[in-house]
Amino acid sequence: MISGLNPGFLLMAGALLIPLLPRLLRQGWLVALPLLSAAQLLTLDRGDRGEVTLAGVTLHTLFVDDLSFTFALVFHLALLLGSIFALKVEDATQHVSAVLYGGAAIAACLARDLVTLFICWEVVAVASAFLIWAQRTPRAYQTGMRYLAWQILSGLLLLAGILALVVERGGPAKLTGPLVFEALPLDGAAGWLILLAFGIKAAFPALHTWLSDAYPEATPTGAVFLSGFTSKLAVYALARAFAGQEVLVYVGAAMAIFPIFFAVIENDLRRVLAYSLINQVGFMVVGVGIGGLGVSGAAAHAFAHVIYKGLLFMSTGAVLFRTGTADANQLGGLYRTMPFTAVCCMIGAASISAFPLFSGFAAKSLIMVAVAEDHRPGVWFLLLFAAAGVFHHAGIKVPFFAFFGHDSGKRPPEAPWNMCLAMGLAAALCIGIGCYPPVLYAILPGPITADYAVYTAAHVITQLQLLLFSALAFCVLMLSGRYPPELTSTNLDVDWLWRRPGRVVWRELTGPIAANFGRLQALLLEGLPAAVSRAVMRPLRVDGLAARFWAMRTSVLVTVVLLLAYLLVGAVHAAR
Amino acid sequence: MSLLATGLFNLLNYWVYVSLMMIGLYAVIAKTNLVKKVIGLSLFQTGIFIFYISMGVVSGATTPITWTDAERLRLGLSRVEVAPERAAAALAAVEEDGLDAARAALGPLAPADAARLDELLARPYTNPLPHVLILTAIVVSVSTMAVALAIVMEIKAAYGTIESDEIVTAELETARAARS
Amino acid sequence: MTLTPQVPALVVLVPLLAGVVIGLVRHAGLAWLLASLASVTTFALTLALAARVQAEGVVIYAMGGWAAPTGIELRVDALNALVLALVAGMAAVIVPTSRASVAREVPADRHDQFYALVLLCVAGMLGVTATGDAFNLYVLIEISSLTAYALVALGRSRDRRALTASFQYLIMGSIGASFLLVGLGYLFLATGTLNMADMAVRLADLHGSTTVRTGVAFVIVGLSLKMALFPVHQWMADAYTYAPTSVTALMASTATKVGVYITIRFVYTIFGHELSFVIMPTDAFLLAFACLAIVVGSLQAIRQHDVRRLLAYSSVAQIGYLVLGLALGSALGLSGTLVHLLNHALVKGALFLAVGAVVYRQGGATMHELTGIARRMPLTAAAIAVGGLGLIGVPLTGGFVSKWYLVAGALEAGLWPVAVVVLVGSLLAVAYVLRLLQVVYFGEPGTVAPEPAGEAPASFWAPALLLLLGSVALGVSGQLTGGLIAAAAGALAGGAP
Repeated sequence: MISGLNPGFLLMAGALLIPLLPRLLRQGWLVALPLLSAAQLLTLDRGDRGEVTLAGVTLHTLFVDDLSFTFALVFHLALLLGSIFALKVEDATQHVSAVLYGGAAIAACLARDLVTLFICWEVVAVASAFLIWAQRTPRAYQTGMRYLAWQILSGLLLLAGILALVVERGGPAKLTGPLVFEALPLDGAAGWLILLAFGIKAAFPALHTWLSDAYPEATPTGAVFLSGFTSKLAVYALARAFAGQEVLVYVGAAMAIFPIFFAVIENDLRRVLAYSLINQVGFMVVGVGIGGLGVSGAAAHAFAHVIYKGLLFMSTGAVLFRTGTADANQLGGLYRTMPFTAVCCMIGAASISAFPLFSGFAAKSLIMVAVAEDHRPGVWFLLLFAAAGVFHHAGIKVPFFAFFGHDSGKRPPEAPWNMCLAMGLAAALCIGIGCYPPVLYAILPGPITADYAVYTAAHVITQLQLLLFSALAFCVLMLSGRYPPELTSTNLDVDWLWRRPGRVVWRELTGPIAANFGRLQALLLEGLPAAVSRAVMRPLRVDGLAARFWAMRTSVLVTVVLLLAYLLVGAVHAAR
Repeated sequence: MSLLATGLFNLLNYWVYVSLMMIGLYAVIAKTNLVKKVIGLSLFQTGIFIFYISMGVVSGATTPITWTDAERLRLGLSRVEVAPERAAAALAAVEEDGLDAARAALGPLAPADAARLDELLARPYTNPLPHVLILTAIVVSVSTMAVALAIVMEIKAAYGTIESDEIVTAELETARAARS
Repeated sequence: MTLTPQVPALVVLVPLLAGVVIGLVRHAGLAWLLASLASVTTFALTLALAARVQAEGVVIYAMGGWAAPTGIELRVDALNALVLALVAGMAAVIVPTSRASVAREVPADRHDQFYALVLLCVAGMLGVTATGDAFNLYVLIEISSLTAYALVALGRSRDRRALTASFQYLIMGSIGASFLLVGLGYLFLATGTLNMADMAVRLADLHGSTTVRTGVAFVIVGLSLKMALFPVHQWMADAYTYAPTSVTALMASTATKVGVYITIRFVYTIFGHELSFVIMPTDAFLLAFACLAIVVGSLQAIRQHDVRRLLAYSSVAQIGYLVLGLALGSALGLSGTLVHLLNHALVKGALFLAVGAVVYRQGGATMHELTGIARRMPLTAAAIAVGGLGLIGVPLTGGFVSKWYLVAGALEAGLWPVAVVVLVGSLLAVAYVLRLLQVVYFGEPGTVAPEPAGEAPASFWAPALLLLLGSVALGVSGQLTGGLIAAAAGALAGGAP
């Protein structure tokens, strides 16, 4: 098709058309756009092209190799499935932000240089926040703000890292070619800043709170998009820049372990899925940290994960759409009236649990093999434990409490046809990849080839044993009544570590300066007693209405002080 | 004491202008009456005018208008001790042969007188440019006063007072009423 | 007689004379028509002038045929050609489209005065930008300021606080201009000339005597007041909040920009690098307050309920960026300032026009009145959204380019903390812009204020979107930013007067 055009840009441009189209045309466009863009991707050759000059800087906007192709392809799939799932949403804002979001993520994957990456990184951040705000509740607004603060922080760190890189390479003057996005060393500020930026998006431990905080607050359809792009983009970025970095192995292992505990006690099923998402990304990060086969595994896992996690979020989204809740204690027994959704959910659950013949198995095995071949028994056992935990909370808990379990008495109708279609397609992909993994292996980066044998007796038996024991544990706990009850509760995550002091700092910072700036001046310069000042100034806090006259006085005084200070400093400076 | 006196008198114009500026600024800051604030602003600007005008002064010089050599010499002679006939000779000479001839015709003078005369003849007038500038600045200042007073009148019409503290109180009450 | 050689003078004279004529017509429609014609003509003239500067280099015009240094000269190089085009361009966009807004906010019998004042104000700003004479500069500053005070006071029919805002502006503005006058007095005392180019040559020989240093201090502090640099920024927040919206749009996009231009002119052309940065610590002084302006201005913006006030405080922060770039003393920093100057003028103008649309429909512009307007006023909301993103400095807007230059300039000078301040400032901008966008797009309409009846007339959103298009062009097109600005920055960094 169009030579040298990053398909992500095609999507972003197409997104801007959405609000102008009438309803039916819009629905057609929403489906056609990812297909068009995917066609563009498939016609691109491997190699570096797509130079664009932006404000005097030449950007290399396109780079297709196996790694970027894999991620770009699966993002297209996620966008297509998500768009079908969200087809009947009337709110154009959601569609625009979803397509912009997906488009930017794809563009970021295919970006050749760091500046393009940064630009797309920021678009990803802002566009995705709208999917949370679109819920239009004060709670969603607050959550969206927190979410966005993290995302923007990530962007700023990335920018700072890029600038530090420029400085490390001898300043802007010495920079000749583009700042190519390639393997970065961890030997200076630049590498660490960029790693931290990726780490926030990848939900590294203690930097993950935005994810478990925000995804459950998004719209039913928004969560499907959110689960697909942001963290996987980060995995891609890590794989591109930091493949084989030892530190990632340990970070990834920690990521795979800690969310399990939160997921088990969590009531909101979408939050359970959010925690299991972190756990899954942990596997990928381990794979990236090992490098080589591990990177192939991470890419394969990301590919499979985007689809089955999307499927799980779609099924819980459908439940939320029909019943208005995703809380485990208010659901149960929905299989009677939503059988199709229930089946899809179970397929997703089987995939995430890595049952043989489902996509998760084909992908996760690669990472496990990579870990074993790298001779890391400790990490291997940790991941094994994490895999068992996944089956436990995402594989059993989600379908069990939503569709089976105690009967909630709710009899919602089956999900609308477009949602069912999207779920059906995703489920078919899960099974297809699981039964015939070579289609996935053929496109993967690294040493893996299409004829890689994943269904060996050892792999299958290990996994089945693991799953059976995990299921056994669940049954025993349920039957003996020791399973953590499904209660409406607020589980403290490290969130409060950020939020409590953050709020205090924020209040202390903006409060006195912004609202009481004038009051401070009055106290200092006018010599009014504090009580009088407070009484006078309280009504002014909103917009400092009548503060004008003393503001004028102090402004004049400040002017004189400024002049004297400058004269004095000037005199001292000149004397030296 | 003498140092202080020297500093005070040699830089007298600076002291005057800075004092005026400070008095004006004080009024702008401290007075609650808006008209008094405007007066303060006016004083402040007047200080600057004095600064400009005084900077153009050349001690012992004449006003900056066009003088003929004869007129300039006549002015100089009126400021020194010289015999009338020699002055007449010098004036005659200046008509014929210019200032240098006149200076020669004048003959020797007392050293102080000679210095004063030579200085006057060499730098005959104060610098007129600052005066012209300040003429413009005065126009600007007057316009500022006009606008300021017009606004004060409008404030009086809108609030019924020109005391800034009363205006603040009025605004507070409006804000309070709007909220409740 | 051909008019071509007279173009530099006409740039100032056309709006000046038009202002006087409009003051006499006493007919609202005719006044608007004349003002529109004059502002568009002036813009065309500035473009012609810019083309001439591009082709011939510095254009010098001796007023009345009196050669400098005796006479007053207009001196236009790449830098002020740019600022002239900016000021006239903003006027050409805002004045013709302001009719509906003015009809809503200014009493009908004052329309002729309104347009007369606007044109005089524009004439003053253009004169300030074009002149090559320091005292002439002072007089023209006062012309633009006096008219601006009156324009702000015209907001009183909507809110009487416009009067007190105007009074404060008058006092602060006069003090600022007076400081400038004193400073010029000292410089005149030291050099004996008021011609800027002449003064620059003579100051270089004086190596910073006490008189010169005093003059520099007065000039810099006076200009800080005129630019509304923190901590002497309060007048701006009030004036922008209560002035008629189209006045705010015009002033926010031109007045402080002209102030920044004059500062660049003084610091780089007249004082020169040695006097500004070596003998006097102008860089440290301006940098410190610029950083404070960015942080405090943004923090104050976050807390505002009235959107005009929010935007005014955001201007305080943006002026921080402008001053920061020029205080870095490098070509990189100065390029940042110039791109930001252009970009912020376009974006702020557009935002205030969009807010004007809200005022037109809703009668006010607090967060309440903006709640959920996106449904009925999608184009206005879009203008607010794109403008807001431009303020943050999102990629593809000019704001990103300028912040890129500023951060790179700070890093080049080894000033890490300053780079951090720029980035933190962007983060704070995200906070106040997204708060605004959240209200506009996701607020439930009709809950706190009635929902608007429909989209505002095209005369509001069309110019706003046009200006934003300019901002985006600035962010995308390398030629636009690269060419003119590199030339201007290079000429200044070289110290050529």
